[in-house]
Amino acid sequence: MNPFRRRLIAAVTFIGGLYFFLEYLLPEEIHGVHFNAYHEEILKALQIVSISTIGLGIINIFTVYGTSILRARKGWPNALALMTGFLLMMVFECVNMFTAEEVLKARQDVQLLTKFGDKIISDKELTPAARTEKLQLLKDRVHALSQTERLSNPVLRRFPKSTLELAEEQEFIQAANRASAAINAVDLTNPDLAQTIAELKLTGQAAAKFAQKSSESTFSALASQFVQEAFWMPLTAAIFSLLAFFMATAAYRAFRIRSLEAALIMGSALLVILGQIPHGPLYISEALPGIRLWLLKNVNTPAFRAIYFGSTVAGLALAVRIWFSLERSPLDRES
Amino acid sequence: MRRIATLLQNIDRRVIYLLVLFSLLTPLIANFSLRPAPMETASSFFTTVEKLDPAATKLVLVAMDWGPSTQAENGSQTEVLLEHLMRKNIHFGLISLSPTAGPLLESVPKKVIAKMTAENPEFRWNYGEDWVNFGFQPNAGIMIQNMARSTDLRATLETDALGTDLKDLAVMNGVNTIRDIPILVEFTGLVGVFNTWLQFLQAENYRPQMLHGCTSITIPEAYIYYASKQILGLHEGLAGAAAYEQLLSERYPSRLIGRALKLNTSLAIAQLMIIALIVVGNIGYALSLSLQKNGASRG
Repeated sequence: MNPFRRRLIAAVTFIGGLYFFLEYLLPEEIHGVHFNAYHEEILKALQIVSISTIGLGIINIFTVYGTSILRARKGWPNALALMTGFLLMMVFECVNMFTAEEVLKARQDVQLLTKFGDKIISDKELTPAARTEKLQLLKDRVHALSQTERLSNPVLRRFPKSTLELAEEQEFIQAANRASAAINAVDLTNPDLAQTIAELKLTGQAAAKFAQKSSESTFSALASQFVQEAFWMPLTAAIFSLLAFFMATAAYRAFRIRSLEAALIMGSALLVILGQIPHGPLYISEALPGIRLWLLKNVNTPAFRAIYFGSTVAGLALAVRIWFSLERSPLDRES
Repeated sequence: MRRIATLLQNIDRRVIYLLVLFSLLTPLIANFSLRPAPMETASSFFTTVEKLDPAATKLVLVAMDWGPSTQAENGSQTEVLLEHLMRKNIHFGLISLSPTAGPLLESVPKKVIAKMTAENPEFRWNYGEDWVNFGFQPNAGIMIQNMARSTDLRATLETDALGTDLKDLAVMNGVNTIRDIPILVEFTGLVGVFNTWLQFLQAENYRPQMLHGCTSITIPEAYIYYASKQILGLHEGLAGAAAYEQLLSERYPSRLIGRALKLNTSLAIAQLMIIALIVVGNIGYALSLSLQKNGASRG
C-alpha cells in the first residue's frame, strides 16, 4: 500500500478513536464548550459510510459470481441461481419502492388538504379576499379528488393502473365525494369548515387504506411476496432446522462417558433437559425445574461471566491495537 | 455380544435422522400438546407485562431482531407477547436491527390480530392507532444511541415502515423520548444484538425495563443478564414461549391455544429421543469396555 494512504488511514483511525473515547469520558460541557456539539452529524456520517458498504457488497457479488458465470467456472450453475434470485428480488423491490413512494406522496397530498383547511380558518392574518381565494382553491382540489376518471384525479393518476379496481378505491372516491359535498355547502363569505375538515380527515384515512392495499397489490409486490414466502422463508428455516438432525447424530457419537468431566457434562445436560420438558412420563419430579434453574444461575452464569470478562479484556487489547494501527491491515498486500 | 456392542455404538446416521423426524412429527400430526414445565424466567416476564398499567403506558418497544431461521423459537415468543399486550390493550411499536425481519414485522402482528379476531369478532387492533411498525433500522449501535439522545423520537425515526410520517400516527402521541417507553422487549437468536440495546438504550438516570427472548442455543449467555437483573424476564427458547403461553391461558381461560405449546411438545419428544440415543450409545460403549476387560483377563 502507498505509504501516504497508510498514514492517512492510520491518522483518521486514531482521530476517530480519540473522538469517541473523549466523547464518552468528558462531561457534556467544559467551560461553555460542548465537545459533542456535532455528535449527531458525526453519527449520521458514520451511518452513511456504513450504508455504502452495501454497495461494496453488491459490487463484490457481481464481480465474484458474474466472473464465475462468464468463464463457466466450477459451480457456475450455483452462481447463476444466486445471481438470478438476487437480480429478481432487486428488480421487484426497486419497482415496489418507487411505486410505494409515489402512492405515499399522493396519499400525503390528500392528508395535507385537512391541514390546509385548518390553516385557512386559524390564520388570523388572512384578509377576507385571500381567505375566499384559498377556500376556492381548496374547493377545486377536493372536487378533483372525487373524479372517477383516472387522469383528471390527482390521486388516482399516481396509483398503479392495475390496482384501480380495488374496493378501497371506491371507498376513497365516496369519501372524497362526501368531502366535496361538504365544502360545496360552505358559505365562502362566512366559512365554517368543521364538517369539511371532518370529511377530509375521513378521506385521508380512506386514501391511506387505499394506498396500503394498492402497494400490496401490484405485480411486483405480489411477486416479491411470493418469492419471500415460497422460497426464502421456508428455505432459510429448513437450512437452520437441519442443525437439529446434525446435533442429534453429533450428540449420539460424541457423548461417551469416558472421564469424570464427561460424566459431569452428561449429568448436567440431562438435568437441564429433564427440567424443561413438559409434564408427561419423564417429568419425574417437581424439583427438576428448580434444579435446572439452580444449575443455570449458579454454575453456568459464573462460568459464562468469566469467559465474557476474558474475551472483553482481549477485545479491549485488540481495540487499542486497531486504534494505534498496530494491527496489520487486510488491505495491505505486503502483509 | 461384541457385535451388539458395535451395533449400539454405530447406529447409521440415516436411522437417527428418521427417529428424530418421527419424534418431531408425531405430536404435530396427532395434534396433542403437554403442559409445559414451569419456568421462573417466563413467570417474571409474564408478571412484568401483567403489571403494566394500560392508561399510563404510552408505548412498549418490541425489537424483533430475528429472521426466518429462528422463527420457530423467536416467532412463538413474539406471538405470545403481542397477544398479551393486545389483551391488556397496551400499544406497541415494532422495530428490527435485522434486515431479514422486514416481512415478519408485518406478518407476525397480523397473524396475532387474526387469532384475536377469530376468538372475538369485535376485536379491533388498528395500525397507526394501536401499533406501529418502525421497520428495519440499519446501523444498530448508532441508531440506538440516536434514539436514546433524542428529544423527539418522531423526528429521529421520521417515518414508519410504510413511509408515513410518525407525527401523523395517533399511536405516537406523547411518545417524545425513550422515557416514554417503559419497557423494551427484545427477541433475537444472537446475544450480541441484545447487548447493543442494553448498552445504548439509556438516558441520564433512565433505562427502560428490559425483557429478552432468546433461542435455546443462547440461553446460557442470556442468564448472565437475568441473574444480574438487567433483564426482568426471559423467554428461554421455545420452552419459554410455551411456559408463557400456559400462563396466558391460565390468565385468560377462554383464549384459543397457540402454536408454542404444540411445538414445545414436539421438541421435547425429540430431545428425549436424543437422550435415549445417547444412553444407547453409552450402553454399547460400556459393553465393549467390559468385553475388552474380560478378554484381557482371560488372555
